[in-house]
Amino acid sequence: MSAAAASEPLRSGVEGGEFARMPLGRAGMWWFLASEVMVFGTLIATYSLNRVAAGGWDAERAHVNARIAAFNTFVLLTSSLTVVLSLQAAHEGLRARARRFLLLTVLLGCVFLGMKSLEYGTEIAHGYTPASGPFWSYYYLMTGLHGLHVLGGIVANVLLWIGLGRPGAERLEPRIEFLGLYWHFVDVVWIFLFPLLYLS
Amino acid sequence: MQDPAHSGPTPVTIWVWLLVLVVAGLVLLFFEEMSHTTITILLMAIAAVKATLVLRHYMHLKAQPAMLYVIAFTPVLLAVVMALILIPDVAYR
Repeated sequence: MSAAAASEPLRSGVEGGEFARMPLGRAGMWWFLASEVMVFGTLIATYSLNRVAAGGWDAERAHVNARIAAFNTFVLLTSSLTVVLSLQAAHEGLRARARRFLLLTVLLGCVFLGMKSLEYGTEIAHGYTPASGPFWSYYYLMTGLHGLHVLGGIVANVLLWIGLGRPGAERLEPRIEFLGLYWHFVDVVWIFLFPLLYLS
Repeated sequence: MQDPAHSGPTPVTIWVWLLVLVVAGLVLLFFEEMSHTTITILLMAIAAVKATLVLRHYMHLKAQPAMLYVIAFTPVLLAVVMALILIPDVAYR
């Protein structure tokens, strides 16, 4: 989809409600996020049911590193703030500032993945691999899938950051919002994974 | 997404509230006399509040058309239905 098409209304030139006048890119991103809700919702639901059926998996859960996860929660929540501040700056016409906040978001995403790698390394070194049991299978599947989403967000943010530094970048500004929606969704998923896998 | 012209709490205020809720979740773990089930329910309630804050104030869902709520929450409903369908399987294992 071109940048111009992304900011076009969903159904231009026709009678319709507020939804029909919504930018195509925003509507498309919400549809995409709905499919993502299905993926993570299913995983969380099956994890919870299997955990109840297995008696809680408390012994396994005691071996995950809640300190690193708590720090990563702080990092991801902060990166959501920087995305919002980037969009605010773009709305105010401060493109350089918007790019700085985007870059900060990328750096925070990298910190998240770095800490996650450290955590995986420690766990694998202690013999806890995806094959170590159902809890570990779920743990690596859910956090790994989430990590891949963070990685995807980082790549997209970097591309947007590069694009915003080129001439005629104003046409790309709506993408800060669309990408921001994705990034916040990744944050929301982590908000549920953190207590489910590390605390409860 | 947060609209700059939007009145209400600033993004930084929402971020502070999110951090307060994270700390509240961590503090809960020190209440050892509380049952595991109670702690889990409280932790998930706190997570739901945090998610609502992000959805309403950062993703600006409250200012979106009603149709977007249908798109966003139908999969949640489907996931809940799927969990309910699987309960007999878990119960009779």
